Amino acid sequence: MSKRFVTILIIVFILFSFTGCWSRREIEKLAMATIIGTDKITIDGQDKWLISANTIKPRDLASQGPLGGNGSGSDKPTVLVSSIGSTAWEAGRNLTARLPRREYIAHVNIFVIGEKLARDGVDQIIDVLLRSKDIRLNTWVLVAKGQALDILEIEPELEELLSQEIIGLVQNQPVASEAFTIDIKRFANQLITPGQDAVASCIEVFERKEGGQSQPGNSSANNSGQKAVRLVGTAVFRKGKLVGWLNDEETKGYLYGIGRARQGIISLSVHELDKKDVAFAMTRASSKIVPKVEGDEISFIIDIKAEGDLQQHDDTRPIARPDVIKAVEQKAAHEIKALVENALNKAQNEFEADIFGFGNRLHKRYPQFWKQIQQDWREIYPDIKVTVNVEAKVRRTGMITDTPAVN
Amino acid sequence: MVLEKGKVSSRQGVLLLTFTVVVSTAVLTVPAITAAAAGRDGWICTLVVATVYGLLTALVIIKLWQRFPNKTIIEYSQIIAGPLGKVVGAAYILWFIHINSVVVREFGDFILTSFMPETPLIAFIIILLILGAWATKSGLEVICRANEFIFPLFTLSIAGVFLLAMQEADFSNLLPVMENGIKPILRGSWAPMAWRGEIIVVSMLLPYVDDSDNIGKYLAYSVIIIGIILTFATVFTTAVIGELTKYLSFPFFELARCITIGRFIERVEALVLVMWVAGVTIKVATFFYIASLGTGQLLGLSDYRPVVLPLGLLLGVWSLELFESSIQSIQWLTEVFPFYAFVFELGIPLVLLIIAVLTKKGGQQKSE
Repeated sequence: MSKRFVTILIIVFILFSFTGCWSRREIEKLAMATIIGTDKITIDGQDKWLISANTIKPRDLASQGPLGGNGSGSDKPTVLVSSIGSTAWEAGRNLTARLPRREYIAHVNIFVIGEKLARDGVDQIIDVLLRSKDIRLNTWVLVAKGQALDILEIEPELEELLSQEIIGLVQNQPVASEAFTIDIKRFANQLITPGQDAVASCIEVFERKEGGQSQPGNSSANNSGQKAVRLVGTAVFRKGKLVGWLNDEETKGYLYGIGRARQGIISLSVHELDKKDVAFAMTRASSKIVPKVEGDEISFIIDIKAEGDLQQHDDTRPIARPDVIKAVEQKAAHEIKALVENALNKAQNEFEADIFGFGNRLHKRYPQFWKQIQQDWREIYPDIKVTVNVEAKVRRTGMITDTPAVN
Repeated sequence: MVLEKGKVSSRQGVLLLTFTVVVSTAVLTVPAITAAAAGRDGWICTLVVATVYGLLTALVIIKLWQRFPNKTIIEYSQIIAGPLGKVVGAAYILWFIHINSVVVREFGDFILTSFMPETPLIAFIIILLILGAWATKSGLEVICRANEFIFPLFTLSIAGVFLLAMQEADFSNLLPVMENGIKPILRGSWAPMAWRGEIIVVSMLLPYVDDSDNIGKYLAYSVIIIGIILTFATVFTTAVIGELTKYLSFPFFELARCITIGRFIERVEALVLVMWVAGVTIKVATFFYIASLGTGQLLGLSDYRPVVLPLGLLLGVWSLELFESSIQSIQWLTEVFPFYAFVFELGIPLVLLIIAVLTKKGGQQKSE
């Protein structure tokens, strides 16, 4: 009898304690943030954090579903909220003053760092990113040109949410290889690895030239359609502080150099010097950075292999011949080499930032030697000799061989 | 007087049970500790040094068991050391309870840190201890069978995490190997050694294993398999997370969080939670059981079940009051636990074995 009593007691206990938990969050009580932007601003001489978050309005999103509801009054599926505090989390919690629901950040997949904060040093933000249990290590990190808040204000063009739009930009980037993308995990690793300086993707607001306004039928929605975001170039850090930007061409060179370039177009001048008349569409590329130590001399060899197709030929001279193809290959190799050297030059001489991770490779290959020079690496780095070898292959010429001559 | 009438096979009681007991907590905590001490060389700690230590412990346990095949460590320590043996036995029981309360606390701290920060710790402790007490009252056979069910779940979850994390791995993160010589590796080895030595729990279970031929073989297998699994865990966390590993509280959990296959297999860290909850339940039940059994044997009771509830209360209070913060618990696990564990895992059994050999106690019955 007493056994039955105990059993019932246990069942009752389990019934009451397992039905839910203290830390439950009901979905209708949450404000789900999709992008978070962080900025540093100065108020009365004091540095403050400005946290902004793009938060979904679930009901509106649902009603604009595939069946094409008209939306319920407001046309934006997200709300932009921001607030200020002395620490990042204080600012984040201060959002409560503006949000009737609990801010929920486990679905954030984009993290935008404002330019001023980046210039002051990202070491302050990296702890915020790593310590929170809700922020994932595979969240994308972007550095804004200007304020992060300005990025979050932009309305998406193709997608429904700005976060989807930016994620799309990030995932689409390998097609052009003109922007560098990185998540929190790799970004933090770059910052803490000796002999490596960090880089991150750059996101910027630009004025649309396509003339999105005053289209008939689109009465109110497109008034602010003048601005859009684009993901182009790279933010370069030195000792965790933003020191400058690589533009799209330099980023391409950088990506070739570290072996992150996937696809992309290289324009060449094959027949004449002053006109780019061939487009080489790369389909595959790889690179190997090999450190060499002879005595006290440190040098590096970057071996790049690129493979691709002929995508465009702007001349009627024959091209589908092995010797011409050879010439195209040489030109392409030369062009890629110039791109990489340009990026290298910028990294070594202008920024003095080891974004290629030469020191790190040296560390892995020659650990004992690295120990001797680790202290002086930043002084040694700008003067290091780097040889770039490129081998380019044109595999196919597309659907035609020679360019058809026009009478 | 036989307090446990059940019998388990050596596969259930030795191979599978020790595996769950050691790996369930080690896989979450050890990579962090080895990475903090030895950086990217943490895998050497778990693979080499700890395995050697584990095999040594296994050898001592087996040798003692061969001398006293029907006795637990609580019983034969009294035969070997006389009245002092009672003290040794009591110390072991306290040690089992203490280790168990640390495990319970680790469990609570992990869930609090990573899933439910606002839930009071005591909620998890009570639930876990009720399960543990229930399993203990049901006896050894039930614990072993429950583990037989949980084992595949547990190993598949770990294997799943490894497989899915494969594409994120960059094994050049493991270079250069042994940059700072052997010292950091030895320093990082203490914790994995202490964990591997937890196979000492079988010294309480061996009398109840019925196919005794395989015990030695299975115990050695268990030590080696644990070594391989933990090495995989450290290698993968270092390869996927890189330099950052040494800053993380739960690197293996973070590894699971990094998994993204396409855009549809994401957020698989629930796998880790399943594994953790299932494995820790078995671990807590096992330690709870051997502590109760040992108490029964030490006090000469006719049944160990009456002591289960009091021990449960002791466990609950102890694990609540053990540490003030998670930092304290990590510090304890890194700095105190290994040396404390060595005494009970290898030190005392080795001394007992030496005394038994010198005084020629036991051993004769071996042929029976």
